[in-house]
Amino acid sequence: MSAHYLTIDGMLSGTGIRESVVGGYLEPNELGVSPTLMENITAWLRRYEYAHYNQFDNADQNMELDREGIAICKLIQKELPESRIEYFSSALMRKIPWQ
Amino acid sequence: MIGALGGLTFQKIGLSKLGGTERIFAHALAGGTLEVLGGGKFGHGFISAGLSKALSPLADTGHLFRDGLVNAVIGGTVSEITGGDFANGAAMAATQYAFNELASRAWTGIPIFDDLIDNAVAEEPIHTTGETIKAQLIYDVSRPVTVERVVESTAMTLSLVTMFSPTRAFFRPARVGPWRADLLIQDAYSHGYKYADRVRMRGVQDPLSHNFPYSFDDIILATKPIPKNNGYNMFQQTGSMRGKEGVFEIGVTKDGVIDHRFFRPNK
Repeated sequence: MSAHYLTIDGMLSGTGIRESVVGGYLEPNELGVSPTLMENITAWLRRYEYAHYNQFDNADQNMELDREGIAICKLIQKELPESRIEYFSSALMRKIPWQ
Repeated sequence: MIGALGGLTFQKIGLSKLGGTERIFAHALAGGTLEVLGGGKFGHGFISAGLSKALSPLADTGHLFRDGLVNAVIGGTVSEITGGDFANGAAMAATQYAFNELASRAWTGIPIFDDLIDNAVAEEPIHTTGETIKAQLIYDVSRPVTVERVVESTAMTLSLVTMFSPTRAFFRPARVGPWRADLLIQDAYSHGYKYADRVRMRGVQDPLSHNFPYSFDDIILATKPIPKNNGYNMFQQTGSMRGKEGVFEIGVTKDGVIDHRFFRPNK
């Protein structure tokens, strides 16, 4: 598996994983992440989607979503140790350092 | 205003049943009149528009954007050799082409959306006063041919992609410095939505997924909205970008603000 520079990002309609250098979104299965992690990402994206529809009006919920996103970063990093992983909060529209 | 009037005039001529010579004369007459309305000389507009129309068959390359580019180059060159300036002539010819050919094409049921997508340059027009004027015509992101003439006083970037959207092709000539006409695209959207800051931020952050011309938005927003939670509406239009089939998406909040613009390629 080649190294990637990835950004975990809960953007509406995205796959949750953005290619940081080239741009665009990657399907988790393209990267070879585990089925369990793929399910986690899908469920997290679903919750992030609802938060977007509500205009991210609940700060506590946003914080929880970002905590989950960072947990996903850690899991992806574990499964793809060669890759560089960053986290971008779609609610706050900024990167959140997690390492 | 003059630009929009010109576009509509040329569009009417394009949709008329006039024969070849009569059509050239009608274009020349319209060009002369519009030149006067814009503060120029009737004779110059008459010759420039008429000659451009007469030479326009040369622009039959079979490709939407190449035709537009060739038309603009013909118009600019004719303008220059008849005493005008290249930028104004190119602008007038491109406007003439956009309205006359494409509006007729769209209104007779020939889709132009796919052409727009396939050849899109993900770039918005830039117009800045107080700098050097550049008439820059970009028609194909994979073959970036540009026509650029440095004039003076302001900058003009003419995006053919933007011009060719029949719902957004309104051009306003403006007096800037010594130059009679500039192409400024203002108040061009037919929709009344505002854009959230996050739309621009996303475009900067990931141009590949977010930067398609804003001229597409009217077309996407004309689709049937897909209602989501909390009064949020999603609009989707299939198309392709950079050779990939997919869906252009626009999300609108309950307050009528566009906070999501995204091209989602098919899996």
